[in-house]
Amino acid sequence: MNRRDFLRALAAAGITMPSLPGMADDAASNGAAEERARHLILIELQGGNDGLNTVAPFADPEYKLLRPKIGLKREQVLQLDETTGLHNALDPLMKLWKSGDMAVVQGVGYPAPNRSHFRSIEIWETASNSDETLVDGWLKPVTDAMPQHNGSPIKALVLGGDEGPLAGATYDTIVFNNLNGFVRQARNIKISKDLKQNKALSHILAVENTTRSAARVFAQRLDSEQAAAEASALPKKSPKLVKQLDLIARLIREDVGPQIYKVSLGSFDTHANQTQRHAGLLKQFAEGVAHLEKSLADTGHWRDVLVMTYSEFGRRAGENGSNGTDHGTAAPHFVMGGSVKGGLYGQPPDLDKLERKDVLFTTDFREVYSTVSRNWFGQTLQKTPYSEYDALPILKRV
Amino acid sequence: MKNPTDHSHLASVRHLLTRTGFAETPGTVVQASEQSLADLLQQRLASSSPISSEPPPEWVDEQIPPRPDFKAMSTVDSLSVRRSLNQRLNKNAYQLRIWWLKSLVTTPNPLAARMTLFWQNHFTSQQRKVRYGQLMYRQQVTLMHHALGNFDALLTDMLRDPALLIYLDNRTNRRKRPNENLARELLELFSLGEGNYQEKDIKELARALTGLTVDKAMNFEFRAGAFDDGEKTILGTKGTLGEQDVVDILIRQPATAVFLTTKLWKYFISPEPDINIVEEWAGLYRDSNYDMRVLLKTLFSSEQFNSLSMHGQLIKSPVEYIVGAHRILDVPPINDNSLLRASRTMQQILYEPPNVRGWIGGNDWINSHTLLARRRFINLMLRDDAVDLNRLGAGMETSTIIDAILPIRLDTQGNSSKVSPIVQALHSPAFQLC
Repeated sequence: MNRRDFLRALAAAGITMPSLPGMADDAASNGAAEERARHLILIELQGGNDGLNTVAPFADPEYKLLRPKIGLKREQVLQLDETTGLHNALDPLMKLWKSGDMAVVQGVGYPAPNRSHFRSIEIWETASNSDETLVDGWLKPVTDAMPQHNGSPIKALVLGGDEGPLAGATYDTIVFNNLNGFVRQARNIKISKDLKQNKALSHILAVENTTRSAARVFAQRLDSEQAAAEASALPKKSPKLVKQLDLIARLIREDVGPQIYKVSLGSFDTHANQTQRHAGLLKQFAEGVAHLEKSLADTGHWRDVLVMTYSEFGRRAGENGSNGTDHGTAAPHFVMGGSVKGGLYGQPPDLDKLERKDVLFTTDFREVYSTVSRNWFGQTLQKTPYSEYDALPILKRV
Repeated sequence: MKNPTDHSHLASVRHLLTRTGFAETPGTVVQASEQSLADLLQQRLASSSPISSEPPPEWVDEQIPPRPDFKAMSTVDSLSVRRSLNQRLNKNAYQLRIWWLKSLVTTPNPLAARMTLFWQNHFTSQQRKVRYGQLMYRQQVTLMHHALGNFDALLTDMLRDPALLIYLDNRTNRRKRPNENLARELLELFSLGEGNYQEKDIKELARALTGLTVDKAMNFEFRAGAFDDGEKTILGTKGTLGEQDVVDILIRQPATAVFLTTKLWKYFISPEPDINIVEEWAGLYRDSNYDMRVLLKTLFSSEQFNSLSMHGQLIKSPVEYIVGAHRILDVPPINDNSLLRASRTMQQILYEPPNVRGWIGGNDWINSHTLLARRRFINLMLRDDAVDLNRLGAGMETSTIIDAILPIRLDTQGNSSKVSPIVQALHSPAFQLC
């Protein structure tokens, strides 16, 4: 029995140890200090990111035929190997690639793909099959299984947009666009006691309670002089994603408590004249992640985060008549962090074998979710839409 | 005549008025409490007032022009035509949403309005997929027309509703290549409910629905050439079965009445239906040829509905919350942008249910984000110049005002003499309840 199994056995017996989710075999066996909490940061590439121009099979003759105008040439990519290149707007990520902190999972998708933005993102958010409608986000069981960390009333934070993958985790998730506005509005909620045994009222009071407690904890833990000084280092005009990831880095460094974060960037819905716009979005994405890495590296927190992209679909293999691309299917996604085993994973889609002009997926997206739950957070969930899927070997420490 | 300070009767009247419509001013509730519950219910059920007294946007009856031929245009032209088309569609969507929200605030027929909302969340369609405001409006007119009518007539019309046919991909449901989307949702969400049919029924039903589509102007069209006239077996009935047979087969199934009655219990009474009573009512409903007024009369005069323990068991939807706040404060609709922003941040954008299942409602309405949005909205309403708290509370005891607004009185309510009891009530967590 290794340490993790031992801890699990304790937990099963009703004996709890502090920081259970963060403990890992290597840290324990190396005699390192108690391991810190692990974090997950989701970056939604809203609108359907063009996978074939993000991680381009630039040497494939078929690629050149499908994309005569907008396809990336050899000199427009940063080569990952002989046949695969990153869009050169992703240059800020090359440092992570070189240090082995970036996994590129290729051909991520699902069977019977749906090409509607709304329906397909719902599939990604709930981990459903393409012909079923599920209600809870895929991270709901993950947060349910996660003990509270550092006395934080919440486990997940969504910065803008909707809860999506966290739908249903109401008591564990806070959603806001603006930290100060949230704290100002939420810290003074008056809490009433439910003496009426009414389920609806209990729910409302529980949400009021979590919301207020979260605001107070945020205010308290970000109020220290050191935290304030670090926060002001960011130029005012920084792009939104940089600001959001900067806030997340602060929350992680100050150990405020939430372990799951979601941000989004968009719109990647590039139907026409996409070259410049796509490059601009990829640059923002790469700069945001590079800023995050920089903000966490010195304090050693980079090894405690897993950054993951997702998007409702990739785009059509062939360009359209407007120098853009229409809705498609599978696409590559990035998993990054100091605990990632960098490299290319999965098969790149075969451009000779298209179905309805789209690439066929080679990695089921639920394998990525399984990796997060099982290997990153060390959970043994049952009966989730992804618990039957194998984890990907993309982490250095599990 | 009842004594207006009879608080138990007052509470029952508030319960009935709010559930069969929206919240009302304390004065309205007190005045209504001079009548019996039976009389009040009869007035609601028999009302022949229009659901909307707001003029609809001027374009609602305009013919939809054929879709531009983008492929025949240059890139530049197609971009600009696309952009201006999208702008017009978005503007129409915005105007329609405003119209419906305002109509609800001022509706003279609250029960029919509530039932229209119910059907909109039953036969769901998303504007972003249907695109044309005209079609969403036309669907709404159909739903309003049948709001308190017979289900078989409603179902018949819905199978010819362009918005629904587009939303559920029936345009591509053809003899040679059936699309099962409408058939699946028709069984699972619109009639029988899960577990009351087989996969094979879906396949056969899809065949019976082939050919139901829209023409270029987006009017309903039955394309005989696309219809599969072969023999089918649906839920045990054999024949060449088409659309009208489908309606007949579905309404004959006892499960349909049970499914609808269960849903109505959850909408009007509590999240936990009593299945025995539901079955009894479902029988009445079916025997009445699915007459909604018969079912609702039974429901609202039942012991179950009127039990004090059912007060405050439901959580107001954002629309009920927004409309109720307006009606309690007796003010005209606040400005368009604030109205739409409020419904969006509270996560109920009219004509945009999250998916084909519609809004789940209940506890799902309240999370940290929507809770704060609701609080902001009340503060915004209270700052409205048209609000006259003195007039609204004139001549009434604090406890009367509180009971006319809230289903449950919390220990902290009505204690402060400095803050208007109306404001106290609107700020109470119990104001989230219905």
